[in-house]
Amino acid sequence: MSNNFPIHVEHLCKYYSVHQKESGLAGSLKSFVRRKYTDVKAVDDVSFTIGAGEIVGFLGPNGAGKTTTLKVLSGLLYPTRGVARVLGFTPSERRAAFLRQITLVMGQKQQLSWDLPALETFLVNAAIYEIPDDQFKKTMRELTELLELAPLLKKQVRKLSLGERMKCELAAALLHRPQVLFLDEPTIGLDVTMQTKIRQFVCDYNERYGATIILTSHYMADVTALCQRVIVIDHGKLLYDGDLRALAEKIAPHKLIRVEFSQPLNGQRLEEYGEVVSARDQHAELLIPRDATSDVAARMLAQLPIADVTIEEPPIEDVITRVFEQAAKARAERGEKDEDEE
Amino acid sequence: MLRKYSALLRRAMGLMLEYRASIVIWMLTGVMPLVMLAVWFSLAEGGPIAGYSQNDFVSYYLLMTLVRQLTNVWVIWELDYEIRHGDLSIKLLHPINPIHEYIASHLADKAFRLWILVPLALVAWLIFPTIHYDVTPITLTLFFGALAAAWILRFLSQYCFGILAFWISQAITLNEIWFAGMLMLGGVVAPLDLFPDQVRVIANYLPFRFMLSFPVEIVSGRLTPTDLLVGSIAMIFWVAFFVVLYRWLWSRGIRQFSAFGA
Repeated sequence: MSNNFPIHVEHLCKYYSVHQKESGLAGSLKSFVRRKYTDVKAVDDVSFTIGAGEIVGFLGPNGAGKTTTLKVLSGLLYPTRGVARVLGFTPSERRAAFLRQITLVMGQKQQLSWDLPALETFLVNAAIYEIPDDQFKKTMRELTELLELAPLLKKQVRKLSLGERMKCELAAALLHRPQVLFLDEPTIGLDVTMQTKIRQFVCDYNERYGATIILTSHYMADVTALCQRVIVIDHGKLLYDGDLRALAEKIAPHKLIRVEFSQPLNGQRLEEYGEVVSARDQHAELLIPRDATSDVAARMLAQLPIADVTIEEPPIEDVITRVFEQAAKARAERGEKDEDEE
Repeated sequence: MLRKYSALLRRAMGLMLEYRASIVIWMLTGVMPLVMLAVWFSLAEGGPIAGYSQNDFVSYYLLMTLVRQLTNVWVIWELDYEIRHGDLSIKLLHPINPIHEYIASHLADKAFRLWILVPLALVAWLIFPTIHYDVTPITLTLFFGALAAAWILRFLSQYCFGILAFWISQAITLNEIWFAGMLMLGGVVAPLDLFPDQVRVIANYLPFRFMLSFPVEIVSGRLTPTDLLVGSIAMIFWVAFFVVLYRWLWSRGIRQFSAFGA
């Protein structure tokens, strides 16, 4: 039964009607007299289900439809067509019982009152989410510990650093212990240390409460650290849904062999083993067709003075870039225009 | 709901205190009735105008100033901005209708204003000891009811204009026209008694009267019991009308929301 999944999306479409306007005064006048509307297909026939406790990474370039999907799932937007169900609710009805069980964290929007201490927002949220006092105190203690909030709570929000603010935002968004989390770029603009902390926190929260999480991020490290499963969308269409590692295998036909030689090579040519990515001094990196990896590695070991060898998947960033390149090529072949939509 | 409101009010009061200086400045923008008082005061030097003596004008406009201060609303500026910039998303995620968050911040503002207005009203009374109002238990009760209704009408009508921002980008301009109507036909430019009969007959039933003038009229002693009754019915009608209009517009607008900017 599909209803057993906390998140269930079927043939979801969200089109925006956007009126086009040429620049300049003439353009303004023209659009005043006759407006030209075009449909932008932000989400176009997307289906997936997500099981309880899963952390799923949402990947796609800017304007792919990630954020739109999250907004539909959290009830901010009415879908144009299709079905979206979250915890058995239809999000767009925005029932209080639904909103009390979910959260949407937007890296670029904040709910904390700028001129008041974060604690003030927490108290307001405790009231409007109807969190019982003892549960509020307990959750507050846990969040303070996990996110190291103690020194931040009584400072005016505007005096916090970006990273400190994001930690408080997360706390405000999770105070009611939501079962379903939509995290839209939660680490945007943060330094590497802070990114790692936020990541660890998301992981802890998932383990502690068994929450279901969808995460979008431009930082692949967020995705590789947290998500086994990824959903890749581009131009509103679903390109891939499945295991992150399987995606690499499916998309990248090569593996990367890194070798270190015990002595400089004298005249042996590396080209005959595979595509040389780099070679200097006693190090080299080669791309080997996936199927031939073990044969080639064995041959190299036998024929070359090798001190060390590692076989790796190509970097996931490259894999993802490849997915989008292939999609763009497929679109071009179908003769579709490649318009940029934010 | 009580717990929610007390938390929302607490936060709103905290913000008010942060911005206390700007609120005092904002209050100064609501003194147009005093300007009109000066005008009518000097015009009435030669004798009463349409039954209004100089002292009547003072009584009328001082109370009008108070009513205007206590019923002022600015919700459209926030609502319009939040709709067009997508900031409304934050409020929509909360399991409470956003209107309550706006109401709470307006109530906090009123509490803050009372602090300043009560001493000022006492000073005004010392300066003009001759001002007089028709104060009986009935008129006083009606006055406070009408004062609350005036605020509700001003708030809801402005809220409805704000909701139009879901569709258009010039919602604030439309509201300005509405606001001008209130100054003209709500008893600020002149007491409604001073208008020609044909205008007054219509103005008596328009919503503008109940947004400012009606509470002042109630304690002016110029309304007959029939006037009071008919006025109260019209007032209740307009409140109900805007409640229904608000609900309808909101349920339509929210479908239109595109949550841009996030």
